Amino acid sequence: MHTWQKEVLWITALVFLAFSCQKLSPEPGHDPDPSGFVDPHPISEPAYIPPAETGPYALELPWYYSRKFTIPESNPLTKEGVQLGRMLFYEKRLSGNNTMSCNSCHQQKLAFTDGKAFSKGIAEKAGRRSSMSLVNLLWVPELFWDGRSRSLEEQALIPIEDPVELHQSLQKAVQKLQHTSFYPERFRLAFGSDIITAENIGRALAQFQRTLISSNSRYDQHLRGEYQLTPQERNGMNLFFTHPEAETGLRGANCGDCHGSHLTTLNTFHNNGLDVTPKDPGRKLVTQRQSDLGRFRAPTMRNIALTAPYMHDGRFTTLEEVLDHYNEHIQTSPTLDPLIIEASNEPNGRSLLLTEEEKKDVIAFLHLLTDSTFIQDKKFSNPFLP
Amino acid sequence: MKRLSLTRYDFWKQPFRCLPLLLLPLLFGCEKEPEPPKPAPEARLAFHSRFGEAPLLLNTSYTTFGGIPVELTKLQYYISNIQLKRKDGTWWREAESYHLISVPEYGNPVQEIVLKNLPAGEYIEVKFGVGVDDYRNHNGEPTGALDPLNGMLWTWESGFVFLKAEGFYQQEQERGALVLHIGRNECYREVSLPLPQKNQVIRQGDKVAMHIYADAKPIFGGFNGASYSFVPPADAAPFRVMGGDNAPKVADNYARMFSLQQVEVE
Repeated sequence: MHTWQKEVLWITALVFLAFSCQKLSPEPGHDPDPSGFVDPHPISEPAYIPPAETGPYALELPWYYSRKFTIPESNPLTKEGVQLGRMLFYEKRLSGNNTMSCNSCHQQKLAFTDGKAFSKGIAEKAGRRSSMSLVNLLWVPELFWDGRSRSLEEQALIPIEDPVELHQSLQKAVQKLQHTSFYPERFRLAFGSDIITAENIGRALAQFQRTLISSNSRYDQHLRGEYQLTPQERNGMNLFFTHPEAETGLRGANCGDCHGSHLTTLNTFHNNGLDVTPKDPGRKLVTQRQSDLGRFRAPTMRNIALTAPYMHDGRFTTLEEVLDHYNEHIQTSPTLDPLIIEASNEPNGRSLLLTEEEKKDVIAFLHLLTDSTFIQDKKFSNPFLP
Repeated sequence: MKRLSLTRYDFWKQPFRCLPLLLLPLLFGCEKEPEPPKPAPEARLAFHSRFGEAPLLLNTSYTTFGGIPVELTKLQYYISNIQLKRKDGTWWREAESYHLISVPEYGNPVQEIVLKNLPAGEYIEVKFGVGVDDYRNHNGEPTGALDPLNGMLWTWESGFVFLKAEGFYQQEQERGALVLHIGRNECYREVSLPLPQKNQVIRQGDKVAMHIYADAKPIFGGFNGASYSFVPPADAAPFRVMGGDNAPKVADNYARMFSLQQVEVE
């Protein structure tokens, strides 16, 4: 046989193979999982499934919010993706025993926290840290208290597998969703394939989380000229953002050095003087560097009045305790932030030295950051409730 | 079966093989087209953060000219209004020229600023500001390098911090906190760096890298002609410069951070 004839044969064979492969992929409605998977904790499908929304999703950002964020090109926001993410956020099938969802530790009424010092996973397993508020994550480049995740797509999958959180392999999560009557179609709408993948679960959850934007607190209304601050709130706001300079009489609570900009966080990592010897190494767990010992991400102060208890270990139950900590109880250690050591309202002062009145003013400002629209917004609530 | 080889190539028995040959004239035809014009030059300023002779790493101890050990946990500052002087004395000015140099927490402390739309020409000098000019310090959109999320806005001043240096100094066995937050118009400084070749020709299609050493050591003074020299306070008390008389003097020092080491043309 001539070489070229052989080549033609090969090509013909390949073409046949390609066509036969297509037949291997499942047809719509066909059970795509031939593994005979059976959920050991079966739960019934929701009585109400929201009708599918489709089209591009336009974020509504107030003019005074930063434009310094990126949405990955591989995961643009769409209504179908955001809606799927919202469904998954409230989906108990993502947990090992079908009892918990993201929502269990991130409840909308508490600005997506759980009100506990340490969150609990399935079967009452004790968590390591306090649940973080999920708000304005669009601007957060490094997620978790220690910044160990660099994208929402990646972050969203970690609590599913974590043994002290939802404790379920991604493979199991995928299988469970694949066996429902409605998720395969929703994944097809959002990502073009009804074969569910862990990656697409992460993408959908990331899309939903990017839409969790809080921008209608009284502070926002003040920024838009719709609300008149009281003298106490105004003083509290000025103190909050100002770095004190005792020599010139400039008073400040020095919060803005870490909780700066209208988002009230610069997304930076700091040791804020909680312990002489930190029990939780914080960012050092991620970088292995001694200089990161006891450093945690400075979270947003938005909705802070709703997200007690405070700090990564929930050690403070009230905002008053938090202010007292920064004002009077800083613990010195080698990685304590120099900005905290240095800031004082009195010449040659060795601590912050705010007055009792000033502390109250700062707390009044913190209450101004509560956004009741955000915590009631239907866009973010359980989609399986009509 | 015989393997095909070029020496035994039989055109008529293997017609598929000749396809590339038939396409060859097309390729040559393309080459006869006039040469496309060369793209505009790509020029960039590469800021190499240093402390004296060494690359600057955060959380690492260095000694000032005054002999005081210091370590920085943060160093960031604005470079703005970049201009290049032509041989004929005229200037090219970068539009919306605001850049934040931020020494990274880890990794190589070199940060590049791409000079968008620098035309080909003959240049003799680079000039830029350290800080933000009076107008833009208080007006215009706070975007890009001037985004408040970069942590360089003094909300209560509605103006920018030009330079932040934070960290520690060592005094005998004790460690004190060190915070320099310098801003306000009187601390804006211009820096002029003549190019090493008296006449730097930049042609169309050139890739040019101007390597600038940004040395943090002069910030703390202790050299001949320093406007201000850091002396640790007693008892390892915190040391701060924000406003006050010392701020413009520290600004004089930071204007001395920069030196143009080399211009690399590809």
